Amino acid sequence: MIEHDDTISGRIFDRRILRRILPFARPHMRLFGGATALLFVLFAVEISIPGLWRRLIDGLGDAHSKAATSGTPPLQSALEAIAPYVGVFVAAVIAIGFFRYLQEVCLARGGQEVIYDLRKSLFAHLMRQPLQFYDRQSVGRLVTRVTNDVENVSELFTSGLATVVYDVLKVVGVAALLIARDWRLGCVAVGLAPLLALVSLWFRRHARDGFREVRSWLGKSNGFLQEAIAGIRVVQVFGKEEKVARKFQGITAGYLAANIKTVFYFAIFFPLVEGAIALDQSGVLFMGAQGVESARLTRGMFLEFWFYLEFLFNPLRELGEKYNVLQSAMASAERIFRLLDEQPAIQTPADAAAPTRIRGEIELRDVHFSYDGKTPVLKGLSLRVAPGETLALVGATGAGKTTIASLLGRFYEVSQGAVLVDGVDVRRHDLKNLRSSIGFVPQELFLFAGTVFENLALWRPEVTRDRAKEALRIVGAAPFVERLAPPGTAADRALDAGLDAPVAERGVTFSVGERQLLAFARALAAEPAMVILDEATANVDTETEERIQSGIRALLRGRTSIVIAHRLSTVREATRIAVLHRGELRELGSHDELLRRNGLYATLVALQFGEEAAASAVSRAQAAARSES
Amino acid sequence: MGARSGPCQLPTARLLCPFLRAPHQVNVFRRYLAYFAREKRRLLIGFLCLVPSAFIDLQLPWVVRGALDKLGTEPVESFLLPTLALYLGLAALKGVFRFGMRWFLVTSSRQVEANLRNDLFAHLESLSFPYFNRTKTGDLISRATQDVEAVRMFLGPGSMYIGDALLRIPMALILLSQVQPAMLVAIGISLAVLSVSVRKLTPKLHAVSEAQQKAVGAMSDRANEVFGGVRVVKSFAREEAAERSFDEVSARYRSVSLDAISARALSNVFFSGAKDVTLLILFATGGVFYYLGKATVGDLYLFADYTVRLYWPVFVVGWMVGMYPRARAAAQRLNEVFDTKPEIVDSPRASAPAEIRGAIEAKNLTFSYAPDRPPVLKNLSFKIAPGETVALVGRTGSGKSTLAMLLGRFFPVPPGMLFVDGADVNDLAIRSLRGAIGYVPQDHFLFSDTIAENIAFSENGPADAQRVARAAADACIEDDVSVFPKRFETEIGERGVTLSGGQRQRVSIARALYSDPRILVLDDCLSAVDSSTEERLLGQLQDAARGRTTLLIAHRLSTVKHAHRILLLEDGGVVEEGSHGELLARKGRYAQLWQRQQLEERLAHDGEPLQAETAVARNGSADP
Repeated sequence: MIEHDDTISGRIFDRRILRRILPFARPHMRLFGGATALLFVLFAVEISIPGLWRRLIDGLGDAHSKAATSGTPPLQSALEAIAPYVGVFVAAVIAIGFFRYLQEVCLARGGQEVIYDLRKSLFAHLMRQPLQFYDRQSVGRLVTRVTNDVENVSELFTSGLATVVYDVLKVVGVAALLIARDWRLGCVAVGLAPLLALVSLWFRRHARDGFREVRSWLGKSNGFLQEAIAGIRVVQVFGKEEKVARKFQGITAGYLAANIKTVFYFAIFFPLVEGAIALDQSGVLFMGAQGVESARLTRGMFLEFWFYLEFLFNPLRELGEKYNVLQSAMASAERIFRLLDEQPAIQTPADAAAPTRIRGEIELRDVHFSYDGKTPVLKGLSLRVAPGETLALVGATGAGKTTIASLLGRFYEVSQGAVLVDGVDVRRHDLKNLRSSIGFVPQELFLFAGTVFENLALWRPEVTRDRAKEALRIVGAAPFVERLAPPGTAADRALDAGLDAPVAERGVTFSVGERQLLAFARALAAEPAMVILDEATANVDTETEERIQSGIRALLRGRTSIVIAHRLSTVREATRIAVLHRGELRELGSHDELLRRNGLYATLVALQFGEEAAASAVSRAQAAARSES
Repeated sequence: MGARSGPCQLPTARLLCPFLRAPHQVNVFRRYLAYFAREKRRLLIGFLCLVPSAFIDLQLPWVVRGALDKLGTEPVESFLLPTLALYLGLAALKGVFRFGMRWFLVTSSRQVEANLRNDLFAHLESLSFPYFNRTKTGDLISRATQDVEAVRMFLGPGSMYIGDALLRIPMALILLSQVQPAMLVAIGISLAVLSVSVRKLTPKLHAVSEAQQKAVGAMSDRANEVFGGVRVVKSFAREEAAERSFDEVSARYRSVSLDAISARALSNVFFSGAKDVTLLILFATGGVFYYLGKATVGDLYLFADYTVRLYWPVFVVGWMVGMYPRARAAAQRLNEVFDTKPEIVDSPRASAPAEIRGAIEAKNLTFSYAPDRPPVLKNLSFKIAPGETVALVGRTGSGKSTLAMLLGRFFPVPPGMLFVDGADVNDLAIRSLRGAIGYVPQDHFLFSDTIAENIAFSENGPADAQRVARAAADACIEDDVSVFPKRFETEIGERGVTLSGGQRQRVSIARALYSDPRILVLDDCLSAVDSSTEERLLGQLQDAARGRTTLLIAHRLSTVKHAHRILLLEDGGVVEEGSHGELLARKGRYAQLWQRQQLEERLAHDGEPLQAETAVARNGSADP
């Protein structure tokens, strides 16, 4: 499942990948089509310039002799003679600048649009993946996919497809033109050109390998640096600065050697390219001189030919570099599509029960679960929660409390046993219906930029403004939301206006207590049949504590609820308390029953709920024990 | 930028001004120029290759020009073959020199980079703990990589290109002035304009690239946040919100990129347009001169070719000058690191005793990490005899670890407050002081290397297998290691096996034991070791101690109960002192802590119900 970069084929043209990329390009076809069309125009204009030199040279020779006989001042007649050529040249230069700008912008804009869309759908796809998917993937790798790899794909468009078209056009067009002009000269020029392509491709291979080696050494060097700085205390404590520095020098030496290897290829590449070009030019000079001598060619034609050669050389010189860019873009695209091919493992089954209103009866039947398939987290847990009942879960960290909440929302699949809601296995429920019938209240409310109302509604269409206001009133959050309204708002409209107050990112402007109340309102707004409350552990003042407690009471009233309890008052009010220890149910009963049993729960109460509660619990327990005996 | 002085008024001089400006600014690079000076042989050969390569490069078009002018006037046989031979010969010769230039100049700059990296690393290692507490690791890494690279680029290949340009441009000007000075003036002006505008545009282009980089950074931060917190996102059905918030940064990136695209496209048009315009000017003036019979076809060709050949050097001059502020900033940042002096060095009267016995004494030791911060240790006084095992216990923040760090003088110790063998630690040579202390830090940091290499970290040469095995046995890690097929040669860390927290702690202990130190400091390093192993380990340490002073810092009191003496620290001072038994009998703070921990441990280890009497005992006297 976890892909490795090495398994990517690295083909330069993979039809399968191109076919999949195409739908992303289609909506922006006007940009790409325009950019490609502009390339043809650009080519036509650029290729006209050498012709101007020919005309200037060949045409002016005659004009000069004519002017000499007519008697006009030489400079004036010179200006008259060259004016048309210069005019065309000026037009050409302006056109080239204009079209080149337009072309570049169209193409790059198209590329940006495509990667924006691709990024969006990749991210949305990742968001649909279940938690198991994230357990397997490293966050860093996923971030690289949505940033660097998507970025790389844009190269397919900018230095890829359109540029390839242009380069092919240039090479083929100019080659045809050269041969058409003078087949002997053309054949020599075109015949010697593959030498340049060979040099370029030879360099490509070595440069790529060389760069890989450099990158790998650089990675090692940076990794060592990172580790040595992180561990600098150990290094200094043992006084081993010199020893570690020597090791670093060893890595630097490797890095240097790899670098020097690539310097060699670069140093030899440029002279080779120029040598290949010089060879081609010599051939052209040789044949051209013969042509001029035999009057088959004029000197202007020869010079035109010579200037054309640049059109042939440039794309070939850059062939190797473009090849590498395209190859890496293809590899990135392949990695992205592999991710897009991952199907969400947790989905509503085809034969799911029709989404009906859920009453909220919960049953865990011999549930076994493990996150990694090795370490068991729940070991054969069975529990029933009747509709409307409040069950408190207590136990040390790692007892499996939060896992139960996750399994109920089917964020993970049980490895054995079953979780049933209203007597139906959660695996047979409509997933959306199931999750939206549960109100999750986390320890820490996650707020995002937007208004108060948006934060309460979370895009659930059933949460109307009236419902949101109602929920705020019920949990007792209305007073402080009213205070968010702009000053001068009429009292009866204050709550409504408060709903539209902006929430800063992560809700820094709210106090701990306010955040709790908002979290309650958010869960309550959708009128869920079930509530899962993970109580916050933060210490708050007595007044806030009371507000929170009454908020909790309002939230839980009449709903099946599971509370991961951290407060004594909450456990006391629960219908029943389940004491978990290492994935097993140890004790079950009401607060008083369990205290009387003087077992694990009594210990937990003693530890978790402070000295005072412990003392009273123990003395009560002992009093009870004495009265029994 | 400041007021410009005389020579900077001229356009060409202004281009070069940053290089010629006030000496204190050039000083920024002095340190790095010295590195290049060490490569002077290679640099000299490189520049000796550069001169002929530039010269020959400018000769090539003259050969073609000669042929063009002879065409039609002289028979081909008379000049063609010698011309071709000359052309190819010169091209080959130029290739050889260009190779030499690149090879010697670029490799020397790579050598400089390597030396600079090594020296920077060695310098970093010499800096003291307070520096690393102030500085983010990420910052240091980016200085050691990006800033070194920026300086290398500027002084290395940069100076090659500049040298090439400064040689080639005047040479070309001299050569062309012999042909047709008027045409030369025309293209000269055009190219000068190009160079100045490149200089102006480079910082702008750099700014849009930086904006783009920032937007990418924001995007990956957001993705990191969402993927990292995917559990929250999922359990709140907040996927859509996450998508929306990612879309926000992604859209911002798109708009920044579109700006960058426009800016880049515009400057590209400008840069390549400048070449086209120069050729156009040449076309017009050359056409007139040609018409008037004052220029030949060969001359036109020569000028056109030179325009193309000069384009890059002219461009590079502008570009390098535009890049100068960036390179200077990088050099300044590097200088900051290099100029930072280690805060803790040997004092002039430091002595290096042949042997340290291990007596430790604190006299009214008061210490704070910064003058404006409250003291961590307040009037702390105690005496530890050589060979004694003393435990330091107390809450987080009570100053236990600070004391351990001060003992090795890892932070500046106020004079006259902390003594080893009766000598102020400030008067002991750092090397002998630290060499005598075997320190097991709290975070049990291990290197990605073999287990043997980690244990024998204090060894300069190869690891002594026997001593590694003995240290491992004493630290109770031998059995764990024997399970691995490659035993002590097993790689740990990223590329190797992952050790558990307890195993890491014990390897870290073995590392401290390897050198058989006179003072052993165990800083809460047994937290992840289970109780039975801990018991065994502590027993073995005691047996192997042979008169070693041991300072045992612990959070878990079961760890310290066998110590000769226990010091209970609170708010930087000793509040209780005595053996385990004595302290329990006192029924003070220590006794309270002890009871509470017993309770916690039983719960954590077996989940056994609490016995009423234990629960009562923790309240001191509430026996009914």
